[in-house]
Amino acid sequence: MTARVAGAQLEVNNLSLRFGGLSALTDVSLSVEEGQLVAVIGPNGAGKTSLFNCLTGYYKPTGGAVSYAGKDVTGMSPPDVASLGVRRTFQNIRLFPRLSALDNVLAGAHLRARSNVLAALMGSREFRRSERRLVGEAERWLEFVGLGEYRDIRAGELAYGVRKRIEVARALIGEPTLLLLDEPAAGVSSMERSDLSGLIKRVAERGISVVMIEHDVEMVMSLASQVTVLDRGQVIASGPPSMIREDDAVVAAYIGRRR
Amino acid sequence: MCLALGLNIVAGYAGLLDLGFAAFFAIGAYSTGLLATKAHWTILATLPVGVTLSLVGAVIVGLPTLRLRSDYLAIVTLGFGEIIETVANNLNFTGGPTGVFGIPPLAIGGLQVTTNTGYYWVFLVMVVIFVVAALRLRRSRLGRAWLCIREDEDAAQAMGIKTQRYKLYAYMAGAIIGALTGSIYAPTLTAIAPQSFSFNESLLILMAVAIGGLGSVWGALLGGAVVELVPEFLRSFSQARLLVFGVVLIIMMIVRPQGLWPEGGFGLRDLVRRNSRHLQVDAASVTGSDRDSPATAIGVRPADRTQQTLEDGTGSS
Repeated sequence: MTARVAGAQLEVNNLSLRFGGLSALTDVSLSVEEGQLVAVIGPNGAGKTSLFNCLTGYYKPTGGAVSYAGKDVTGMSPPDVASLGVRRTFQNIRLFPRLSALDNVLAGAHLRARSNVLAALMGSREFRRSERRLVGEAERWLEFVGLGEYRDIRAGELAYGVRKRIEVARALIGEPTLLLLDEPAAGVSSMERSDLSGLIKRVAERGISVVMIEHDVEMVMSLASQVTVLDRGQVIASGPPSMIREDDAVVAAYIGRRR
Repeated sequence: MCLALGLNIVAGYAGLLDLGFAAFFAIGAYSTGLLATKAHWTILATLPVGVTLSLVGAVIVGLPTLRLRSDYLAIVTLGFGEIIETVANNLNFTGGPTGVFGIPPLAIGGLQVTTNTGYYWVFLVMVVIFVVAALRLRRSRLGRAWLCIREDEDAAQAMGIKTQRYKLYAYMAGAIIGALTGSIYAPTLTAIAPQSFSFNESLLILMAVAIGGLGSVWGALLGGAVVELVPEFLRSFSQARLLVFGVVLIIMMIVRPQGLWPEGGFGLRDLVRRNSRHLQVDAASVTGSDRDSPATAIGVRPADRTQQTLEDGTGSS
């Protein structure tokens, strides 16, 4: 709770990531203010997801630094980064397929659940009360993303767009101060896409900083206040959406105009 | 059955393939057997020793290997099982191949358990305790973390779950149950020998869990019963009974790979749900939607979503 007041600020400085001779990211810098909604766009293979993996501890960057709320998180393990209030979704949806929608959301509350094993084994009253509270909260988050009716269905049996939103609910129950969304609208129907835009807007309104990777230009332009464009692992443009739209380098990267 | 319940936590909940589970069973049984015959401890007093020793074993084996992917874990646990059996076979201290005999009966508060019926009740109580523990853990932070690790380790980490630590906890929980069972099993037989804790035993336990349905507490119970009882029923095949048992198992795994009593229940709930979906789809077709192909019944429940999913073809993926 205090972290939210103190401000979620993501600071990425000259981040580099190399796989052997291949440079996935070169000198990427990015800064996200508290409550800001930033979009990262770029052609396929530009290094967007690699960037997310560096920010959340899945990849160890080979150069540069990432700091979150003033704390250096470069090279931290994924669970440690998560414990600071950073949550993410995955490009290809990584739900727990054989668990129900509700259990998936509950899993997101891992760090907030009571950890006393003895109390759990004894089924103490206090333990049961705290579990009931968490379940209630998980139900509310499912409602928040508009999926209350799917509560008891296994995640693996649900439709793609539905699973995408469960992933968002699972991230939100962890009370993040920074949420990283990796292509939230990919493979989602146009109808569901507007639902999703509304959902992301509501998330941002809660004061949660959001960084999203997205290909849907319209969605990016309408939601984001800052856009960073990656191409071949480098930042080629950064600024408000209106400026990005006019940027020559961006147009060249997307359409392939001769430089 | 007790052992199947223990391994169900390791393999069923956390998804760790443990091929040496009998090692913990052996550590419990030998701790009890040796302390009771050589140091004349009461059986109950030996329980904490067996549990502690097997926890030490679990940490020694688990700490370095649980970082590895599950295939490697299988190899290491297999080796651990073999080591324990070989050690028991070759040390004079453990009685070598003849094992430990003359283990005194279990005594609880001056009441000696000597009859088979007596031990039946003791084990029944243990089974009940383990079942309650396993079910309660399933609904706690610890159990949820295990299931998440089994389902998707990377995603689990994104929730803040320290997967290596939680895998070790699962391994340790299994070790506790294995050792306790061994400690009570030793006085039941009055004599224990290394052969009782061989790789075959580990495999049988794993088989019990798999037959019942990985991750399912009731499945583990049922699987334990099947593995124990079916070979007895097949005695009329005399020499060939294990062969017949093997064939039965293979057929079962082909016909019902999820186990006899899988996690989500007998499949009844799924059946009901699927039917209710059909009903809703039918309702949709009555109220105007003319696309009530069977595909609408898959993956999407409420009628208002079915049409939309048909259009972009994301109904199942």
